Amino acid sequence: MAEPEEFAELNRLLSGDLSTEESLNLMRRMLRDADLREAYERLLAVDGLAREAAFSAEAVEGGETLEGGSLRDERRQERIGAILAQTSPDAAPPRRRARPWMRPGFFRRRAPSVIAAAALFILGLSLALWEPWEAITYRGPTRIGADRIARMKEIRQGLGNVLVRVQGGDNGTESWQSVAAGGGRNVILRVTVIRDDEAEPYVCDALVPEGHLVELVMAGREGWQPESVKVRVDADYELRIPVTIHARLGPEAEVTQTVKATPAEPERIAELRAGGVRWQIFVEARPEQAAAPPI
Amino acid sequence: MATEKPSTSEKHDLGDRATWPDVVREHYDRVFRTALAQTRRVSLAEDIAQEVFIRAFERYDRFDGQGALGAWLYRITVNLSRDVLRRENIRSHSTLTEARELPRSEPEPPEVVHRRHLARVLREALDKVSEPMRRAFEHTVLLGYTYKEAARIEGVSEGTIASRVARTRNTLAKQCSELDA
Repeated sequence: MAEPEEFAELNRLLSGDLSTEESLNLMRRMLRDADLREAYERLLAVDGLAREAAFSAEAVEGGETLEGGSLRDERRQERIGAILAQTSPDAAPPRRRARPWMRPGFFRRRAPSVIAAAALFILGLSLALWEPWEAITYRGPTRIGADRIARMKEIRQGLGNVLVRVQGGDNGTESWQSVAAGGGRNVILRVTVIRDDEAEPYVCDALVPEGHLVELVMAGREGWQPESVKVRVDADYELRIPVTIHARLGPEAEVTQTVKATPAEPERIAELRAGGVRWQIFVEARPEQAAAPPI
Repeated sequence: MATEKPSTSEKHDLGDRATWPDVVREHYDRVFRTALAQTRRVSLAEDIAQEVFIRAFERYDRFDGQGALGAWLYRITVNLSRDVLRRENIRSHSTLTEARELPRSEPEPPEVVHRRHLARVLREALDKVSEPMRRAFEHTVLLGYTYKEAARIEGVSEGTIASRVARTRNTLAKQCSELDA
């Protein structure tokens, strides 16, 4: 009687799982060992009987036309020929589409390159979606410099006791207009309006007395500007300077906002969208008597 | 065009070296038997086998190339067979070992009767083994799939398939031995 290990070996032989050398060795042993040979023949017979049982005429309709579960050779060739006739028999099969990501361990092996590729993709996507005005969007307002304050005082001195509005920012150009003066304290203001689709912000400086409403926008300026920006510093302020701005930025874009500004600290007073454009308004206020900012 | 035919399906997996006619010839019997196991009708199994290869040819780009080609064809065959059976309102067969009673007009030789009896005993014995063992045996011994393909079909390792086949074969051999004794 064959041992369990020998049964395992015989099964491997029947399944074609043994190498040529192993198969030959086993066959030589079977020649010497009748039990082993009998066990092999019994297993072989089991396979044959099982196929017979599965594909006999009792088991399948038309089973009498089969040989060992297959069509007889002539019939088989006929059917294969019919298949090849319908599937371009002379053609090689369509080439396999490469799908390396479906292989086990692909992502583990390729993790660094996959992460790098993902980072590049995100960066590329960000660049693709980035528009130049985004850089302007978050550009802060420029601050009033000491030279500008000195210039406003100079103009005021030349014009007499008047208020001064200076437009043109720090780019060297300027225009001013005198306004009837009051008797309150003077406040130095800078209003910055940033429009996302414009490269340059609108900047207007003013030296105004508290309690007066002043229109900062003047005609004749080169470049874009809002339709109207009116500012007023409320009287009787203490540490923080209450500034009210009424801005009309476009046909359907008006905003009125009051902010208590920390002296010499630009603050965003308003942000709105109109006509598909984002607007931001910053204001900086400081008492004229305060220490001059550094140049 | 390459004409060399690999010796086993594992070697080519419908790879670049195998031509389509090679593939059809290599896998035809397995596909046919699989369809036959499902339908129990030779003529229907022939038609299904033909349709399987036509579909496989058309959909070959869906085959990822990593699994055994035989397992892929097996799935197409089983699905198509079930569709056909459903359409024709025919019962699908869960095992390969169900037998029909055939009318016999002439007496048969004793050895034929004995062999038929053995086959019946073996069918009954096969029906008694567990489902995973029986399926492993059917896939490999009856339908002709390799261990690798059977492992893919069943979702287990090749070693598991080998073990199940060996145990089933030994069980059946014992049954036959007892009968002979």
